[in-house]
Order: sequence, then C-alpha cells, then structure tokens
Amino acid sequence: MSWRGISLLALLAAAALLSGCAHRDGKIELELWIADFNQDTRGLIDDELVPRFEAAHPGVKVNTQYISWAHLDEKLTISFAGGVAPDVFQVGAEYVGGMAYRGMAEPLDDYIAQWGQADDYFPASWNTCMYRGTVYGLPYLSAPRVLVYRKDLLRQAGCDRPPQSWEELADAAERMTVRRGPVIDLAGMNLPVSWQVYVQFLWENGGQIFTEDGARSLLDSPEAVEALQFYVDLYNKYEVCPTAGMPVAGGAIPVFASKRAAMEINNQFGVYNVKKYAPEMLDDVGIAVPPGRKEKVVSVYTDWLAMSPQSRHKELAWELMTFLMEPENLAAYNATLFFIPPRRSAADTARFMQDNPQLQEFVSLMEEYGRSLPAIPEWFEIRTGLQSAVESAIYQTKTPEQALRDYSRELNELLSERVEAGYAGG
Amino acid sequence: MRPGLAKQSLLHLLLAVGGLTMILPFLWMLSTSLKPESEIFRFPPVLVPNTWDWANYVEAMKAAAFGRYFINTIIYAVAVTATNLLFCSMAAYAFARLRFRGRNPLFILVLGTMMIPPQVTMVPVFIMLKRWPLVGGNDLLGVGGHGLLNSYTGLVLPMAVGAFGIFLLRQFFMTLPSELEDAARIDGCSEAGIYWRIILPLSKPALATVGIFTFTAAWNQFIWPLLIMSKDSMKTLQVGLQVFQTQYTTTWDLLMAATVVLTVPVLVIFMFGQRYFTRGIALSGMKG
Amino acid sequence: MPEGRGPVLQGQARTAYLFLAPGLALFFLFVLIPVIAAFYLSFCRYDIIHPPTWIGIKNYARIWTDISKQGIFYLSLRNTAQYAIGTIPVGMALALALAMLLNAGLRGISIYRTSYYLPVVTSLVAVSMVWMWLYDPSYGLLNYGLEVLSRGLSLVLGREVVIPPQAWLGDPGQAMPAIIVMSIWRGLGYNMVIYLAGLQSIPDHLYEAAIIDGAGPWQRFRSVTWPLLKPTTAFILVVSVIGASQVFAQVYVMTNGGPNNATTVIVHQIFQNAFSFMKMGYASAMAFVLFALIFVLSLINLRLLRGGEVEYA
Repeated sequence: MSWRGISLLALLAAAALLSGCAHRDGKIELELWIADFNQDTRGLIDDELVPRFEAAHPGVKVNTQYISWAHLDEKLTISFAGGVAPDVFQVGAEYVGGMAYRGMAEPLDDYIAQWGQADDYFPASWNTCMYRGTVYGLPYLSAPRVLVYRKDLLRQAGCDRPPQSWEELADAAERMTVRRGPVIDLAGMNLPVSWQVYVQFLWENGGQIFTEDGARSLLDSPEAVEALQFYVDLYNKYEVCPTAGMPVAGGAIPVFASKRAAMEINNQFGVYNVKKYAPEMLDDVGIAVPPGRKEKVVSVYTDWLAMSPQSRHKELAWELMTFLMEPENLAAYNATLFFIPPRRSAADTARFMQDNPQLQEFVSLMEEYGRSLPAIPEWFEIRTGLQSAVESAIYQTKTPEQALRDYSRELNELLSERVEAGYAGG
Repeated sequence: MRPGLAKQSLLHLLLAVGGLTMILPFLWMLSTSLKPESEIFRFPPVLVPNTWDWANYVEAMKAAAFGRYFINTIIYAVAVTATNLLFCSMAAYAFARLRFRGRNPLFILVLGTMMIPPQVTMVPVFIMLKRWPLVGGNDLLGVGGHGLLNSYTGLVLPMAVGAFGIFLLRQFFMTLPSELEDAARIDGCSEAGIYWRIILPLSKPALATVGIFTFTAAWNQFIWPLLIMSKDSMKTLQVGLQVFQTQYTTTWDLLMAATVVLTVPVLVIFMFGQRYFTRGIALSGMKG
Repeated sequence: MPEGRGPVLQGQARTAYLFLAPGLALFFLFVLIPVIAAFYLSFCRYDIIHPPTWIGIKNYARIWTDISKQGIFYLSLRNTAQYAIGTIPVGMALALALAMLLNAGLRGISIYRTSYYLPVVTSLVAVSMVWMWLYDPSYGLLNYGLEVLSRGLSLVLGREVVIPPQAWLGDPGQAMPAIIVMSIWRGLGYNMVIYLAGLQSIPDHLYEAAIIDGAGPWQRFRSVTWPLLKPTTAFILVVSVIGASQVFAQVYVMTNGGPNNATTVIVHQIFQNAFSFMKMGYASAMAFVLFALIFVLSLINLRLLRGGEVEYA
C-alpha cells in the first residue's frame, strides 16, 4: 500500500463523508411509499400522476419510493421509530388492526365525511381499512378470490355446471385428476398450502376465526375443524391437489395456466396468467363463486393507502390520497397491475375492465359475496401461527383437530396479552 | 516446488470439475440474462439460449438510475474498505503485539459483539443516526431534521470498523515471527514505525483478504442502505435491483442481466487483490 | 509479564491506546452502544413505535417456556444447529483441501481461485433466487437431472424406472438439506481465501526441512501445515459458527421458514418478532440467548485450537 494510494483513499473517504448534506430548496416534500408496483406502475406514477399533482400544487414535491413487500415492514417500523415515517404509504389487507392499535395510521373519518365519496367503494374493500368503526385508509387495489375452472374439462367429466357444494367439488376434482403412477399430471383442484385457503373454507362452513369482539379464538369449533379436515382431505384423501413436480404456486408459470390443473381458487391473476401464458385457453376459463357448504363466500384482499400521524402536512397528504383515488387515476393504477379497482366508478370506466369480461364477473361476485378479514392487531402473528397449524395438518404431523386445538390455545394467549397491555398511549 | 506432470494433470482435473460446479449457477444466470422472457421457463431447461438477447442488458440498466446507484455504491464500498483496513489493522496490532492493561477482556468484548445478530441493533443505530446533533437540520439535541439519514456519512460510519477485520488481522499478526520486531525495537524503531514498516508489508495476504471481504460485503449489502436511504438518488445498486422484483412477478431476464452487471466490479477487485495472496517477500529473508 | 513495568512497556501501552483509539471510538459508538441498548430492550416490552416499558425477565421466561414445550424458538434452535452441523465441518474440510490444491503451484491458479470465489462475490439474495430456481420442482435443473437419470436407468435396466420429481424446498424433509448444500457452495470460496492466506505464511524452509527428514505428504501436513494453520482454523471455526448461527437471507428468500417450520432459524424468528410482530423486546432477548450460546461455543473452540504465538525452532 503506497502512501499515494492511502492518501487518495483517505481523500475520497473524506469527500464522501462531507458530501452527505441534504438540500433544502424551500419546497414542501411529501413522501409516498408504494409496495405494489411494476415497470408500468412506476412509469404511471413517476411520469404522469406525480407531475400532474405537483403542477396542481406548486411548491410541493412528491418523493415516491417503491419498496417491495419483503422489506416493507422493516422499513416502515424503523422509519416510524426514527420519526421519519412517510406521509402516505401503502399497506396490505392484514395491517389495519396493528396500525390503528399502534397509532401508525391517522383516523380519516373527518376527511372522509367531507369528501363524501365513501359509498362508491365496494363494501368488502372498504371494510379492510376499518378498525372498530373508524376508517384508517383508502382502498387502493382489490383481489377477490373466486373459483376459476376449465369449462371444457368440467364438461368432459360430465358436469354441466361448476360445483356448488363441497361434495360436488371433491367429486368433480377426482374425476378430472389425471395420474401417471405416483405423479399427478393434471390436478383436479389447485390449492396452495395457505392459511388464506383455510380461512376461505372456514367461512364457507359458517365458521369464524374470532368471536365478535375479537377477544377469543373460535378455531376449535366443530365448523373450524371440519373445514380443515376437508382441506386436508383434498390433499391426502381425494389426492386431487398438486404434488411435488408441479409448478410451485407463485413461481415460474402457475399451475393452472400451464394446464396442469382443472380448477383453482384464485384472484384475478387466475385470468391474467392464462392471458399471459395460455391465451388460447381463455375462452374455456370459467368464473364462479367458490362452492360453499353453509355459506357462499368470496374472500377479498385489499391493499390500501394510509396516512401517517407523524405527517407534518396532513391536509396535503389527504389531497395526494384523494388525487390518487380519482376514478381514472385509480383505474390506471390498477390497470398496470391487473387488480380490481375498489371503486365502482373506477371499475366501470376502466378500459382494461371492459376489455376483460371475466373481470366483470369478479366484480359482481365481489359485490354479492365479498368478505374481508376481521380487523385485529395481531394479524402478522396469527397468519404465521395459522399457517403453521395448516401445514402441520396437511403434512400430517398433527390431525386437524389437534392442530386447531393447539393453535387455538396459542391464539387465546396471544389475544389475552393484548387486552392486558392495552395501548392507551405507552 | 512444481509437482510432477501426472500429479499436475490430476490436480487440474479435480479443480476444473469442482470449478465447473461452482460456476454452474452463474452460467444459468448468464444464460437467463440473455433469453427473452418467453424462453425462460421451459422444460426441459435450456442452457444455451437460441437467441442472445443483449437488449436485456440495456433495458435492465435503463430500468432505474443505475449509473447513480453505481457511484453511491463505489463511494460506500471504497470508504468502508479504507476505514476498515486502516483502523482494524491498527487495533489488531495493538491486540496482537502490544501489552496493555485489559487487552484480553477488551478483545473478547470486541469478539462478543460479532455474536449479536445485526437485526436487533439496527433500530438503535438508526435512531442514533437520525438524532445526530447539528447535522441534517438537527439542533443541539438532535431534534428537528433527519440527522445523518440519507447521507453517505450515515451509511458509512456504522460500518467503518468491523470486528471481523480486527479478529482476522489479530490472528494473522500473531503468526508473524517476533524476531523482526524485536530487532527493530533494539534499533530504536518506534511502535508506529514497526507497524508501518514491518508488520503491514508482511501482512499483504491478510490485508488483501480483509480488503476483498469488506469490499464484497459492502458492495452486496442490502438491508442497511435500504433502511438509511429514502431518496432515489442515494440508493445503492443492490437496493436498486428491487425494481425487478414485485410481489407477483419477477422480471427474471432483466434481474439476471442486472445481477451479472453488478457482479463484475467485485470480481475485478478480487482478481486484482489476488496478486497479494502470493508470498510475502520478506519471509524469504528468514533463512538461518 | 506484568504490564506497565519499565519505559519500553509503558511506551507500548501508550501506543496501544493511540492505535486503538479511532477504531474503538467508532466501534463503541456504532456497535457497543447499540448492543447495550438491545440488551436493555431485552428486559422491556418494545414495539418500536412507543417507548419501551420495563418488564424484567418476562421475555427470557417466555423463551424458557418455549424451549421446554418445544415451541417455535426451540424449533429454530434445532434448525440452526442442523444448519451449522451440516455446513461447518464439510465446508471447512473442503475449503482446506481446496486451498492446499491451489497452493501447489499449478499454472492458471488465478482462474480457479476466481471461479471458486465467484459464489461469494454475488449478492446472497441473487444467489438464493438462482438456487430457488435450480430447485424448482417443474423447471429446475435438479429435477430435470432426475428425469434424465430415470430415463437413463430405464434404458440400462430395460424396464421403466420413474424417479418422481422432488419438491426440494417444498418438502419439509428436504428443504433444510437443500439450503445447506447451497450454503456450502456459497461459503467455500470464502473460507478457501482465508486458508490460502494462512498457507502462504508458512515458510517454505519448514517443508524443505521436513522432506529432508524423510516426511511424506501426510506427515508434512500433520507436523507442519496443521499446527501452523491452527490460528487460521480457529479463526475460521469461530467465524463460521457465528455466521451459521446468524444465517438468515437464504432462508428468508428461499423458504421463509417453511415448509412446516422446517427451516425457520433463530435470526428468522428474531426478524419476524422484531419487525412483523413488533415485539422487539422479545426479539432482543432471543438475540442474547443466542449470544450466550455462541459465546460459550466460541470459548470452547478457541481453547481447543489454542495456537497463538508461534515459535520457530
């Protein structure tokens, strides 16, 4: 290491350290975080929406950050801890309880009352942003989960209409499954191993996760156990679900679009994937409400925008939110990602909605049967724990009853901790 | 001492087979980066693409401000490497060769901090940087602005000295024969002189190691720059890669192209630093 | 030797403090103080948003209950141990063998060195994603290899042999071994480089003397190489144990702790509790339990491989 080399490095280091000052050019800066995005979304927001907003609000600059879900929680919590939370930010379906409970989202009831456009929203989407009667955000994109099925395969198996009950579902799936030795070439029913699928079955069976007040678990009820038993049976008894060797849900080309499944419960990506990977199949794809046992339910997962209570420009932040929520802007955003705009006026006017008639069926099913998760602060722990319970049942390390009994106990402990702690400030 | 021809061939064979296994995932990455998206998911998998889609590279680089990210990452990696090399070697020398009260407990303390996962110290460090007084709009008490967030200083300082470098260099310094130092001391050389003129030149392999590792780690670091920087103009390359990955899709071809591009500088540094793995020249003067 | 006696030793102490000052100052500020803060937090309930509330040893008590009931922290401990045992001995042995091969004075050595170091140089996230793909049940190379194998076996044996495609990362029994293989692949170059640096500092004349004494290659390894590599091995072992105990990125990207909690490791639990469940106090307690375990292990390591100062005969 020569002297010259070292002094050069030192100079570089010094220059770097000293150059880290922020400029202040007198503008008000709003920070916007988006978690659902792709190339097109960034083009839309950076090149169209934000410039339009800034033009309409001279002296305001919007700094948009795109943060993937994998890192959103970390960055969000640490920013709140440091007092540098974003003014407007996007969060997911399970977030409202935790954020309201911890004071990470500003209650918006007053703004909304003045705004008066709440009724335009689909109820299942709107409820995602509500905690104990107060609204904490505006829905930004919705994903209802319906039954997506191959009309041609169903007809070949001798059914003239999609299954309407659990028995019909198992039956149709069995008839449509194609096996080759131990390998399943065509799965009758594509279901990932997921707590969300379980919750769907739970609701179809008339069960609930919690009591009305969210204080106790109802997962040890007979309905809950039956629902899990059915889910497990589809895997291990009827054997109609994908096995290893099938494309993993969410990876590569999805199962249904690669023609390796006859039915699945999926959101609008069921249609999107077919359009992308197997467009010739599109006409044979049917949409229906998932077969219920005691109830028909369409689970709706909505991502939404919240405002930080730490924001120093709340009025402006609200204007940014409502700007993004204007029907055409909302529709444009959802178009880039192929999600359902949560407002009726946006869903009606969106070009991509009109171009895809199947999407309109999603909307009508959402209106009729839509339901969103109950708002509870502990969703992150619950979804992790519930996922473990579901997995242990499907991988047969526990019986469904055992898994749910054990988890229910855990859940009750978790819920009781919260009631104890009580976050009335501290 | 060159081994015989037969032995040489055997060694080459072993190393080549092993080497191929090592780089197979990269060949995969490279091949994916050259494929158009439609060709990526095929069964049976295709290693050599039919058409070489160099446009992927151009598109990948245009997808975000990678030029800017590159500058940020270079500044960060070089600064962290320089500070680590300098301060860690000084501290390691003190731990390895100088006698002072509390030497061992202090070293164990330094070592001990390596055993704490960084996830639990991130929040205190973040708050510390944010509340740094008299910078970034903060007053004396560290309130009002954003402190050292969004700055190179904030990015570099917490990583400027790592226990790893101190540990490695201390172990290495301890293997050096003390005769040279004793002779130098008798000649009236100061400790600093011994450090600079004797220890450091003899430690080229170890210093090269620390340098390469630190540079690589800093270059590849993701979480820390992600948390500290909220302006696009301050992001580093790894954070920039995020644009190719969304919740529902990954643009594999562009992501792989960008990753290949990002790997090149570190590889270059490694190939450059490899030279220092050859024997320290002074050792040959040790006979007798 | 008693410290501070005589002018030479006092001078040493003064230089020592001077030499240590800048490094340690940065170290105290950005490493030690946050660690102390985290330790304090381990006795608190802290959701990162509101100020921490002191709750004494409740977090540690909870960890104890979890371990005794074989709860999820216990599982993560077990998985982490599995990971460490899978990656460390094999990884170190391979790295040493590799370093010695590369030290044999072959031509073209820098090409080999570079190709073995290549896995280290790429970001762990990118590497994890590539391996996820290799392991993909439908489109991955591994299952393709299995299919080729079954076709080959069918030809050779004359009857149909079907090796079903494996789930790899989707199978609770295969997920952790899959991650272990990937991690060994990745860490090889890293340890190889350190061993190379260590090997370089063994003077030639010791080997020459041994050859003159009639020692064969294994003897030379045992009497010259291994003892002189002890500080290096000690270093690699301690660093590897620390690294294995803190494994996170691969697990987060490739399996997120599943399936069926087969791959959740300690830092994964810490991360989840800190940033998803907002239980930073509990997460800090877990971190310090981990610290205690590693600290004890490292002391044992360093003792077993004691070989600091080297006396040249």
